[in-house]
Amino acid sequence: MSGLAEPMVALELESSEPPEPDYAALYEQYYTLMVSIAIRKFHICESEAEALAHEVFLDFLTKGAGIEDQRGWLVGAMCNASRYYLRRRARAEPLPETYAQAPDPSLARVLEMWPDQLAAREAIGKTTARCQLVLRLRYFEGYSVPELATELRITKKYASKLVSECLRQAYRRYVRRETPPKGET
Amino acid sequence: MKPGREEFLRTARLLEDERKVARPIVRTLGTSLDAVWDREIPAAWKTAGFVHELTSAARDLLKNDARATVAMAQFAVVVAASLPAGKYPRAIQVQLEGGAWKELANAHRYLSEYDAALRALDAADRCLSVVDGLGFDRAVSRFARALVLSDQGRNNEALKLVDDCVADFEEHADRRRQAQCLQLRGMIESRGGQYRKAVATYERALIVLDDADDDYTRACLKNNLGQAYGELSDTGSALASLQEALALFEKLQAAGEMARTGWGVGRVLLAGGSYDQAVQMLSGARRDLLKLALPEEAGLAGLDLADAFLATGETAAAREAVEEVVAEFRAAGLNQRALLALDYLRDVLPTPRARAAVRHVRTYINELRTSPNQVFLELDQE
Repeated sequence: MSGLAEPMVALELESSEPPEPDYAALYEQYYTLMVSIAIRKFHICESEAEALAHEVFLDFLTKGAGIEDQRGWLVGAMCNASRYYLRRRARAEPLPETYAQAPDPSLARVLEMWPDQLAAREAIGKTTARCQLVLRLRYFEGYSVPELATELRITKKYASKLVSECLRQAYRRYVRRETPPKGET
Repeated sequence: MKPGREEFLRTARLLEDERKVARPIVRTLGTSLDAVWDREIPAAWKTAGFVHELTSAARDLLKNDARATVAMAQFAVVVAASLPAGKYPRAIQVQLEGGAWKELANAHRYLSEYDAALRALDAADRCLSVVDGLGFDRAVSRFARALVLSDQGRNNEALKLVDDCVADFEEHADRRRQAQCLQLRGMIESRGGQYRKAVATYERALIVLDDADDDYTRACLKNNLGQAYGELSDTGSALASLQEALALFEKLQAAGEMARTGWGVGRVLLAGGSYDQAVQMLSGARRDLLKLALPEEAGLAGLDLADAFLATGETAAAREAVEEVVAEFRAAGLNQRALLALDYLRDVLPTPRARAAVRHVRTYINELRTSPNQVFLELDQE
């Protein structure tokens, strides 16, 4: 009996919103437990354990109402976060002993780079929502022009034109803000 | 009071207030999103609550209008990226942006735009990888990727991700998502013809789901389990499972799923030799699928119906069913290749090979849904 209808997959459909939990009470109830899990089970120092617990609680905020087993979720998330933290830390290389004497090469041009980066972000923030999407996809997420065209359902030629237009728009709006109106010094 | 606790409670209040303000605006945006693209994002919209509401709205739209979901999720991505620096804790900002990317990926997947879906998931992962405490969101994103990969037929990669996700969701005590992961595993096994394995996986998923308040996932699992039993020619178990699924979908008023499950029941009855009941069930399912404007699936159910008629020697009724399918396919402007195959079927219907031809054409039209350029070969040419 082959060729039955395609099996069904339950998407992550969230049902109508249940009431928000009492976050203050949950924080009081589980914070110490969570910090102690990170310290005792994963041997993470207290300040880092507190930071991890804080992050987990913040994540909980964005989905709290949809979580059935709050204690289970918080404890599980804390274990998961602790392991992720340890894995990330294990990948980090220690600084050489002489690091304090030699300047970090990545910071050599920092005084020139930071204003440029900040200006770029500010300029993009001044453009229309469409241009923000275009510039973000192209320059922050590394989409190629054909990929950008697919994402926006436009032709490659138009995608390329749109990128140029958006760059011009960002420049114009940024310069306009920088240039004082006539009559001002 | 610890500073962490203070910040947490302040953020909770802020989010709640912002969401209340954003909700009516986002509701109206659903119908007028086109207008907002060509202007600057209003400062009042650059809030975490607004992004949260946008992402929820995008998710709610998915089943009815995936294209609108793409636009809304893209807008959520842009607003999330433009939240004022320092106003929210980093974990919140990153989670919201990652969530918007994930929703965008889901919508692309729904539209079978798999490469775009994977690119959006790459962006979500990049985003979520920078905060240790977002393990749950990373697992959700991994599961979304597993769904895309399984749709692309990259089953081994999908299964590996599914197993990781099962462990992660188990750790987070999230039975619903754990069951959904197992459901995907069962589907992959089913597609690979490993029906016994699939039955075991679906049953395990039902045990995991236990008494969790999620009848939709339970109904999908029962439906899939019934289909897998059907493939194993275990008609009794198949019908029992499918009937349970049908009852649950009815309770949820999920019309599309009810029609599809009814169609499944009809096919199991057909395979089990209960032709009269099969005719009754398939006719009803076909009618419902047409009502839901699903001509392709209604057409396939029509061919099953023709098969059932042929089994009872009602050639005229079978011919009528095929003619109806041809007319519907033509009216809906479906793949021309399907029409060619149906023309062939019309010619073969009066011959003794009619049933084999019906099944052959049905299989072909079903395969056209995923390989629209596949060439039709008549029975003898195969």
